[in-house]
Amino acid sequence: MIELKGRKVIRVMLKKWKGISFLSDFLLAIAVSSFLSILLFKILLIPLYWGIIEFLMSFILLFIIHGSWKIKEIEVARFLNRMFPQMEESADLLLRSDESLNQLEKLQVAKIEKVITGFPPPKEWINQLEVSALLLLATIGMCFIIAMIPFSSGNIDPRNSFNFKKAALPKTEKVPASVASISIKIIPPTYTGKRSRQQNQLNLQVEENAEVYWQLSTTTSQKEMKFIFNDEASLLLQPLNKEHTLWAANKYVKETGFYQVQAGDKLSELYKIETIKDQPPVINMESPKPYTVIDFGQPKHVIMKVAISDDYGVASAAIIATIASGSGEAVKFKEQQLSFANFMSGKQQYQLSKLLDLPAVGLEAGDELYYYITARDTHGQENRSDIFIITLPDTAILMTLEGMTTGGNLVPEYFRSQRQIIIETEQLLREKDAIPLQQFNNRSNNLGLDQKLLRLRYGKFLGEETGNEIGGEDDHDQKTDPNKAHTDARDFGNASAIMDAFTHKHDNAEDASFFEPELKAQLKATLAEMWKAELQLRIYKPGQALPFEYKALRLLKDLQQKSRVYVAKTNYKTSPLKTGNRLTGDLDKIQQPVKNSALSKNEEPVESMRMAIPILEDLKNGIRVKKENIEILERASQQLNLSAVLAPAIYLASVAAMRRILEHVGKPGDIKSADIILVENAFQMILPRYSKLPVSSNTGPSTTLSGQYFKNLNRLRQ
Amino acid sequence: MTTGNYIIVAVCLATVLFLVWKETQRANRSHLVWRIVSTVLTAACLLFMVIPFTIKVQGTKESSREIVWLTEGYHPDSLKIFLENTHEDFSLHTSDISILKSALPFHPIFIAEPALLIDSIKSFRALHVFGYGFTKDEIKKLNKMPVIFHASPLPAGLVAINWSTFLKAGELLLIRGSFNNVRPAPVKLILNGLHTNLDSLVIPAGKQQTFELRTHPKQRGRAVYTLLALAGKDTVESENIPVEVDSISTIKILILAASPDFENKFLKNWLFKNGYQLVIRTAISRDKYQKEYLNSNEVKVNRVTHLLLDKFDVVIADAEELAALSREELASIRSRVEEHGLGLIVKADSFAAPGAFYAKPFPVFHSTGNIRKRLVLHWRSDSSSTPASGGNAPALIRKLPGTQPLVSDEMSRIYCSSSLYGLGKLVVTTLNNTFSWQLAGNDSAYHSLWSMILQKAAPPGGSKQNWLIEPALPRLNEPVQITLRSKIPVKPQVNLEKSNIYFQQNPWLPLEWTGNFWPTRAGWQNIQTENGQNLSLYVYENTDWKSIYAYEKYKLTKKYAHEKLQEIKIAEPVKEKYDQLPLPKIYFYLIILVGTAYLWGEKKYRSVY
Repeated sequence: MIELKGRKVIRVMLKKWKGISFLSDFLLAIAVSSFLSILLFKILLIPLYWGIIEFLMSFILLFIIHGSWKIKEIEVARFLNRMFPQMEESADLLLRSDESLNQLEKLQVAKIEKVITGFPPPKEWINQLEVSALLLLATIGMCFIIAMIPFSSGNIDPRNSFNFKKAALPKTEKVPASVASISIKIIPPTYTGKRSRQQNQLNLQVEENAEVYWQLSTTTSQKEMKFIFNDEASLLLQPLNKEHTLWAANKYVKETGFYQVQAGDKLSELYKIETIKDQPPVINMESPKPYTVIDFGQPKHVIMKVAISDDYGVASAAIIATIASGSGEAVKFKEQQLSFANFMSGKQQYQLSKLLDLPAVGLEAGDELYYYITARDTHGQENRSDIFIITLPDTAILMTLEGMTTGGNLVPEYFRSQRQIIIETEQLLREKDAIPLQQFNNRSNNLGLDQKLLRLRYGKFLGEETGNEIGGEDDHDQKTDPNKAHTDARDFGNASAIMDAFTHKHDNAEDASFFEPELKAQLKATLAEMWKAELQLRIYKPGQALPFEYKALRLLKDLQQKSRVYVAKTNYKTSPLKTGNRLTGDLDKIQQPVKNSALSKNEEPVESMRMAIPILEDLKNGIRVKKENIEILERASQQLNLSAVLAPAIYLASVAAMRRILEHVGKPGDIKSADIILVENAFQMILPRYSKLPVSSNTGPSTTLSGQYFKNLNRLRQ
Repeated sequence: MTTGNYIIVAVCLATVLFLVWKETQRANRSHLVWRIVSTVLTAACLLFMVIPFTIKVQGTKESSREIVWLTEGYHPDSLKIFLENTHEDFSLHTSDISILKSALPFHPIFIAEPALLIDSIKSFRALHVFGYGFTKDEIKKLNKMPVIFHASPLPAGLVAINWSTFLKAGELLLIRGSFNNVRPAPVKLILNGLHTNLDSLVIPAGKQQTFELRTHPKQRGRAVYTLLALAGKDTVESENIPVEVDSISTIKILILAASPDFENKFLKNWLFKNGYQLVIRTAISRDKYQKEYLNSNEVKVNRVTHLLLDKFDVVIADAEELAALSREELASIRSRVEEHGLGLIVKADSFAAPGAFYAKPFPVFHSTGNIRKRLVLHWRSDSSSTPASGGNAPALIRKLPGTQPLVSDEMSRIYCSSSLYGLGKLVVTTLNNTFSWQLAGNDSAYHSLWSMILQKAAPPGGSKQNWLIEPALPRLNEPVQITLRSKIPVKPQVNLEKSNIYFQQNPWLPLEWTGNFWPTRAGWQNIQTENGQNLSLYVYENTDWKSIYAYEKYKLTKKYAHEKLQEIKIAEPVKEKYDQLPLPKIYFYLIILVGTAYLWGEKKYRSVY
């Protein structure tokens, strides 16, 4: 009996262990499956109920891995030995039969049996349970967070964004009555690089120019089967077996539209064909800027960065560069094609770059480079970017006197100075090796001084008062210091000297400038360049001053051109008119043209749809329609077909509804209101607004009474 | 007292005098006083049997009685409070069977209409009305009886609505109204047509607000749109909006141009494409013209005559061309405008003859001030003011009294103006490059502007009959009054769904005819007139427009009660609290009997002794 008691305790423990590990597996499986299913739902739109399958799978997997069913009593005993020192490594004795124990072991069993009953459930197990419960809680929290995040790629269901589409799309496709099974093979055109695929739904969504191969098996043998496309063209299906139950057809699908299956005399419902058009490649130029000027001294190369993408693949990409050299009438163009070094045909996305070495391309000073990128996709569609321009200004032209010797001489003397500084700087650089360093530095410094003087002269145009700041004004407070004015005794009694101290002389008449703000801004930029040039000259680096000097000169030339206005001289005298002869011509032979035209009374095609709406309203109220109205309905139906060919996804359901209405038009009671709703909806979408036209107002009949009144009123007024 | 009564009195007096004289002459003079008294009494009673004798009686007990009348929408709680507070004798009545059922705890008595009440109960102190009040008909029959109106709060939902059921193609369907939202949540109003939501609007919680919904109907003919009021997902109200779109009747236009220009060319092309009849005369040289007949027969246009003008509704002319016309031609235009309602549109940037009849009301001048490079023009159109930018600055028109500016810019400078001239209308426009809007793709602005200008100038269309329905929202099995105005005072023959409507002529306006009918079917009904015209009428179900009808009753009763209340206040101090009651004739008869019996007995028995 005693032995049994110990064993019983172990058994109970075994059961507990199994139960706990089962429970923790269960919780873990819930956690894993819920996390997985919410992710799949969000990304791939897989319905949530798939979570049950995921749960079962993960649970079984966990169960197998943990193998909790495999736990035996002996393992419990070992566990107890390990966990509780009180067991004195002899828990397994409890499992052995009484007979197999020796005296000592029996004693030991009797000892530990007293201990074993008092053990609490082991902490390890509890921990295991706690860990899985916590994990579950955490995943539930995660799931909530994921559910909140809007996924841009997957979860925008286009059907939700438009009300009508939801209504228009048939939820499940109806298979034609006599058709047992459908197999459709779609072979996308080679340019897409896609593999052929199969489907068993008659609604098609294929790439443009894809080959579609239908294979239908019918329940009974059929005499003839055909597809009717857009209500116009028909395609006969070929029987594949003698029993005439297996039919096939193939066709290249080029346009969107719809089709239906005709088996014998029976027509199926309408199925839509949507084609996916190939898009031309998209070219996105990241650098350089559309218009780049490379000034003197800047490195003569340009880094080009382009992103090209296409829906199926880019076949080729190239740079078409044109160099324009010369000026006036002697402009020469030279075109060349450059390729990208890191281009590999066939990918969908490209991030291309190219270092354009301008002298290597053949660009010289004074030339302009026009270039654009072309890309061709696998379908042969080509696209090109905008044209970009790189110019390399010619410093030689800047130095010419043309344009300064003629025309209004606004501020010419200072321009020449800037040119002179450049010439002297270049002279200095040439003589650098021949002269001592001291002299070189001196001359450089002197040039800097010249540059400063020049800058100050121009600064006056901006209203500068000191040389410290571009465009800045003087600190006025200094001049108002009265003590300073009294220091010179000779000025005693000199009114103008006293006045000088207290007044602030701004513009002298000579320096007064009336520049436009734009011109002023450019002048300021010129001064900034001069500043920089002066800096370089002062630190004996005339070579580095040269780019700034050139830039300043270029800006100055621009300024000069801008401030010029030409007025063309005209000198033309007409002979005086003889007024006596005017308006005395013979007009007999002048023809009086007559034009006569009438608008042909062709009704607008959409008019039938407009007129069909009241008829549909009548049908809704169960009123029988007249024969001529049925004709209107039929014409409206044809118009609806035309719209459906262009956009089957939207209007196909309405076309089918319209057909059902026309079938039952004799018995208005049989027409479903849902069909009328579908058709009216489509009409509302298709029909354009009436255009606004002048109408005479309808104020009721003018009566003889009011006529009399008017007459009498008129008489009274006179 | 009539002369007949005087004669009777005189005869009676004579008889009394004669009889009294006879009594005094009698030999036996016993009981003389008694005899005279009875004679006079008998004669007097005889008189009063012919002429009723009235006595002043203090207000009877019945006059302290009050009547409580329950109408649709009454509040049981407020009724209860009223009944508890009033100690007067009252009776509770209603003419509404549904109220009879709902108000059972108050024991109301059914009376078919309030007018009957006045006849059956001679006098009562006050008529208390609970609920939304009486209909127009009921008020008419109340016979000016004062009423104390215990109005229920305003009905929830639509309290006013207006739209035009009959539209021309291209016109906007504009639904305006007022919605009383008593809910704690906002209500969404949706205009639904052809099962598509076309326009919507939200009325905030607990507010009464006006609303405006608009759409361009796309059908030709009749269709029923729906006005839905949604609170959350519940439909609070759903009303039908019947709309019939008719094709337009075109305007016949004559264009007189001094020189070919783009303005006329674009206008011409647009109107031609839409089937308008156009004749264009463009001057080439002196008396030499280029003529174009679009959708029209050839007519002689070299001279502008009455005959020519009678064929057109509107003349569009350049100011130069008008100035070049001979005096007779101008006179014929003038007379047609003044006496026949021809519309004249003048395009001008200055007038050579500022004194001419077409130029006088519109002084044109060129602005000397700074005019901005781009003008933004405004005019009133169907939808809203449509701004469109004009090109270089056109001339301006000074506003004179009697003219109506049509197109103006942001600074209210006028570029197009109109005025009445006799029966016709004059429109002067200085805009000279509106065609550039069309070139710029702004078709809608161009169409809107010229539609407005042409519509302004065109004479009113000649429909022969004009009709009016009352109530505006006719309901099933409720009386509808139709008022027709015809051009000729001949009794109209009108059928409603193949049954005749009988008309009564208005005694003061011989052209106006009124008839009554009771629609027996809801939905569209055809009204046919004898000249083959088909008019449409939409009849609603009895459950439609409940709140509108309730509000109508509410307004009418409130107004009536208010008017009557003031009358009472004025009349009360004068009014006697006594009633004149005729004494029943039986009393006189008995006195005569007694009197004559006495006289007879006295003569018979006394004379024996």
